[in-house]
Amino acid sequence: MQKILKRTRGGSLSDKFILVILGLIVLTYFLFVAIPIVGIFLKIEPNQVSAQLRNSAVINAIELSLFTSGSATLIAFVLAVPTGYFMATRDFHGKAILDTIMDLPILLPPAVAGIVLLYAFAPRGLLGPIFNRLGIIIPGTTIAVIIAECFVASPFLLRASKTGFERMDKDIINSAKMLSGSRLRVFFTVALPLALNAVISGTIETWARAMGEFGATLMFAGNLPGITQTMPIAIYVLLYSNPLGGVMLAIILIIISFSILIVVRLLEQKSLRIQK
Amino acid sequence: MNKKILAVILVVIVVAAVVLGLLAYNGTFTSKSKPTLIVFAASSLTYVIANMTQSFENANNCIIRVNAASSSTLETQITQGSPCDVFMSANIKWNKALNSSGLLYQNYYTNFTKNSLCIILATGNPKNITSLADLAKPGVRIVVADPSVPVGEYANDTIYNIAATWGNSTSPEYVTSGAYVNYPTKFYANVVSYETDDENIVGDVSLNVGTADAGIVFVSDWAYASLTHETVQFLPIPSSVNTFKSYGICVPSEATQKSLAETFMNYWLSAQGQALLTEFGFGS
Amino acid sequence: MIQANSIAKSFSGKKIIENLSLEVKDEEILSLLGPNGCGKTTLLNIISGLMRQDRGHIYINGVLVSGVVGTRNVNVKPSDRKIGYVFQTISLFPHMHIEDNVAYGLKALHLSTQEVKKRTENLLDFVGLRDYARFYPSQLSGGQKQRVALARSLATEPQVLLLDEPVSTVDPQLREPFRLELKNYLQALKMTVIYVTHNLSEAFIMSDRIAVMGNGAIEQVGSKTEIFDKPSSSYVAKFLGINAIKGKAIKNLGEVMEIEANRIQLLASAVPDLIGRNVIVTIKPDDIFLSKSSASGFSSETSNIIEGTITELVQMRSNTQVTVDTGFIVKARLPLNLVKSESWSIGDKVYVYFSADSLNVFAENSS
Repeated sequence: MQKILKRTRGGSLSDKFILVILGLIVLTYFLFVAIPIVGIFLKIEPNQVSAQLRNSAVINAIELSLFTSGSATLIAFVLAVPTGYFMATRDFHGKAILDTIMDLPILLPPAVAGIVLLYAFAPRGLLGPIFNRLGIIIPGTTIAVIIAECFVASPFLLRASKTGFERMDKDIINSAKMLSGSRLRVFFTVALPLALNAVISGTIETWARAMGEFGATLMFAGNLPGITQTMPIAIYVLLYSNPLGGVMLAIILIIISFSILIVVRLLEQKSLRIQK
Repeated sequence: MNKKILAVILVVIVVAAVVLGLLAYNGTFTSKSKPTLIVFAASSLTYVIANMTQSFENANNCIIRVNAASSSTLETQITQGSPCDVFMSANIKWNKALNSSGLLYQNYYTNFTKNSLCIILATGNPKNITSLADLAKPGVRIVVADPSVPVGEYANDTIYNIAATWGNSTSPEYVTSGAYVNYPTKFYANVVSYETDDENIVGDVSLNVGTADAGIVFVSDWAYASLTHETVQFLPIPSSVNTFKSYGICVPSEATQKSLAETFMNYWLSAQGQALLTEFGFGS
Repeated sequence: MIQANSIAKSFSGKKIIENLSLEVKDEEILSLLGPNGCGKTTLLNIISGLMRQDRGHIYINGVLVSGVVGTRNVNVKPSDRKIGYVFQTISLFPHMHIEDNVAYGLKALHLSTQEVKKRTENLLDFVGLRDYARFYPSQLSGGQKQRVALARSLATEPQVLLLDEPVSTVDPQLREPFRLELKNYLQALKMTVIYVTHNLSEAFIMSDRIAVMGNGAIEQVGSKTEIFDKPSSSYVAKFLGINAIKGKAIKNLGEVMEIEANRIQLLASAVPDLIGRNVIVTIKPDDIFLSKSSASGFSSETSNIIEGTITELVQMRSNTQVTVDTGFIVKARLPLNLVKSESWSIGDKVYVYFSADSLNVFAENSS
């Protein structure tokens, strides 16, 4: 009796085998990601920590990265979410072409992205004369960093919100339209909440991409400590001249990213659980 | 507690980051009382410049900002109009290119120092490399730079110089043991990585994790590495086969601090500047 | 009152609606009946304003809400048309409480908080869900959700109600009671209602009049008995599951006339205008009698007796559908016990009986 019960409960031998394989795959993948990260934490020399944290290059890089990535994400949000809504709810000629163009920044190698930004916005670039007349120079400033980060990272938010809005139940939106004449109200009270999960994920991806941005920033904004030297660039510069500083900075980058990501994930989980 | 609150919290986090940043950067955005000199310098010059920045700033009541990157990147940035007062390049050809485009102040550029190559060795010299011929032996792991980058281009030139001078039987300096025949082939067979930056090469070799046994870098790279790490061993490359490249300095035509830029440029051409350069491995 | 005149609508070159006209009388419940994909939802969307028709006009209570008249291009916003719309799928706002769902339309009217609260409570009372005000839609059953959807659509005090297959999201076993509940609500509201369904019996239960939709237009509008007894086209007949046979009216025999269909002679009540024309004959399955014996009390002057072979037997809940091939195909419905006791099976020879006056005849090209 016992034997028969065991067999039918657990499934056949091949099922168990597949489960084991799956477990091994998950473990392998996890170790693949976790070991290098743990490895870098092990390189900290505790007595050096406070000294490094007082290093102005390190502090500047942290502040600059947080400020620029936050700003870039904010701008990306304002630009990409409405655009995603527009593209998800309207059909028009040439929609496929527009779609592809807006996706291009993701496909460009970062250094190339930097070059095209130079060609467009530098004093001798396409829009140079306009900016010159206004007395504005962009390369070499913190604004240039924000522009570079926004350029390479915003497509993530565009894709995510477009998909989120496309998946909206049309009948729910139509119900709202029957009851309220204000497009803005329908967008903020019904459409956006419906797509919120996708939009939030997209925002996180965008921010993460902005935080990690290196090549385009280096080319377009330059490597000016305190002004355009973001954490990724500083880590790169420090890693071979001041390895300890570079490692510290890399660890701080990981800790900051991890903290923000986990807070958002936990809040997401909580709100989902409540709604169920 | 629902999605609305989640969204509000996110917005608060982002806005907080932005506001904190704005507060921190208040200094950077407001106009400074002191003039700012923007220097675009090749990465290899970073440390020698850092050594004189403070005293120059004090002596001339200014602030120096250094944008360090590869010389080609810097040239692209200047061509497109990125603000720059002084351009110090690891290869005078980039200064020349700017001049041909008419982008230099008074059409002036000049050589201010040289750099040559040497071999750096991993700590303890595990493969016991004592001559350039040893680099061609099988099993030796070498790191060089990609030929698109100056130090890689020069390394390539040097390798072929060696082949032409010591490995060519018709050459008066032919090494009769034949150790240098087909040198490029044997050498490049041992290359395990083509880096895009000199510092990577120093790193690969000196990080001592078994990645590389030897690398070809500028003498200045070795000099700086030995100042910051434990002394890194090196093997000199004889001048008969070594590649010397000129470093160029110039002031772009759109520099906003032209007189300050000229002062900076003259410092490097002066005896004091030249001495500093020698100290950091440049010149010879 | 709703008036749709000559509506046409195409999608990517495909004609969904073509020259459709429909009038819904004041305070009547009209069922819009048709198979899936025939354009019922499209018509509702056009009437509500969520979609624009290619041609034609829509009037609500005499006012033009959509269409071109001369140089005037009228297109009133959906929310301004005073229409309530309950969609086929659950369309409650999942992220809002029930009471916020219902109050959504009210908030746009800029009423005081107390007024909004009062009206919301009244509406929830009407559908009997006052206690569920602070629940989320995910916590309600299908039927409850649709009641909320109804309450929500009534918030703006519409003059017209559009219901698109409202029971389709309700558990099949609960559909009957829900339908009756819904009918009570609708009758209490005394509003003009269009009730869309593909289910015949549902249309019969819910509404006063039925409009059968097909081929991009309204095939027939009428009361239940009119539709069923006198389907005016073979489309309607087929949709209603009524037998439709093609034939030709040959001659008039006084009270009855002779029709030839597939080389078989049929007798139907005489309609002099149809003599000599190609016609469609429809017979309700309930009017067909089957027997294994040829003697059954039917008079041969006013009845039709035809031989045939059983080709299909389908057992339903309360009867059996029998398909007989007599040269043309006829479907009949017989009580369960009859089939069992006589042990009928496929391939058996039977006699098909139907009286002349149970036939409905109309000219082939009349619809």
